[in-house]
Amino acid sequence: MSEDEPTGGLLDQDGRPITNLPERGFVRKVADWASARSMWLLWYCTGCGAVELPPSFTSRYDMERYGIGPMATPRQADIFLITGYLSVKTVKRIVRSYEQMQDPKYVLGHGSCTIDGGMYWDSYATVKDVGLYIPVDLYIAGCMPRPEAIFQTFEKLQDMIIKGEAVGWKKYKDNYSWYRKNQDNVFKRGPDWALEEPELR
Amino acid sequence: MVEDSYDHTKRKDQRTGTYKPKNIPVDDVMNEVIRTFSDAERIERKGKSAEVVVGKFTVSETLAIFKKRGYDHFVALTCIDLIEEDQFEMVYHLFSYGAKVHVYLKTRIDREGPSIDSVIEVFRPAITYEREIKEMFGVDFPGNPRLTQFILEDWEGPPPMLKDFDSIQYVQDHFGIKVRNPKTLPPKWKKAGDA
Ligand code: SF4
Repeated sequence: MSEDEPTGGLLDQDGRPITNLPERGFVRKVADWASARSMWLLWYCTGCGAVELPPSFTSRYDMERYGIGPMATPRQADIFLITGYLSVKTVKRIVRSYEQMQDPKYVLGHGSCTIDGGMYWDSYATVKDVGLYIPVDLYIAGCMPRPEAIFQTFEKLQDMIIKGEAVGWKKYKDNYSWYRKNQDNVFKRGPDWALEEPELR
Repeated sequence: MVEDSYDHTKRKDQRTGTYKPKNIPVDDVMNEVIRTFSDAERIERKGKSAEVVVGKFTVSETLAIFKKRGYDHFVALTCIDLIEEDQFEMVYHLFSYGAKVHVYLKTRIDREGPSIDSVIEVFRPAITYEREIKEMFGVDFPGNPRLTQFILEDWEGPPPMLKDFDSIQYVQDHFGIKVRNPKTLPPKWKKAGDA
């Protein structure tokens, strides 16, 4: 996809990209219903949020009840949980990991820092709104949110997937040039960025 | 008088075979520094620390004297932006394991086109500290071969640790958010023009 050709992006009144909900056939609906109950979670522990994840994984709250399990690589993960502030350097890695994940993929922003910078609102080093660089399906407010809030978000995300409303991944495709413009404002894609224009052979 | 040669092998503890750090009182070394450099000035401090202000061009030689006398741990290099005086203050922190004394070696440089000779000939670890200060304050260190981009990736703005770096303006320009009401900010964030 070349960056100067606009990709049918729709913007809402705040100038944020939106997308139409995809048409789903019966098989797709069944598949969504099933996949909402078996998801792998890639947790990107930036900021302070990492300490809330061990209780979520382990027997106290037990994430496996929801069919959600931790996964080590982006290529096999469905949910991308970003647990805190992102420095400009980190957002580069975030975009790179996000682009490696396969559709459909869902992003959860955990903590105030992913919403508006939180307590780092005037820092030169952290990006303020993760939604400008990758589409975030759900934000979890709080500094920091407790595991209960994470689980409430999982339930909401499952609902959204079953209803076909969690379409962040489609939004990213449809409005790629909008996201790409914001990404280029804060970092450069160097020659080692393997995902830009892959060589097909 | 302090001895001149510094030979680790001679100071080995024969019984345990371990290196024994040199224990030379800081006053002796300070007197030597002040005798050697006419512009060096000692500043009184309490406790196990000592402070000396030297000229910009004698930093390496002064550090070499301290190193030879057992003050051989280069703890850190810091830079302070003294914007009212239009100067940067560089502080070289040294420590002696024998005398158990911290030494702060200070010097001032101009804020305009700041530059000071690198000290990596004396203390090799300074290479990273100088790299950081180059990035955060824009101070140049002739003689340091490694002043490349360090922590900030793809940075094009002014050095961010300078006192006159406008953080709020930078945030509004680069991260696509508006600081809604600057009037409600605490006074230290307000600029002169704000009501
Ligand atoms: S929202 Fe709070 S807890 Fe989370 S990363 Fe930011 S400062 Fe840390």
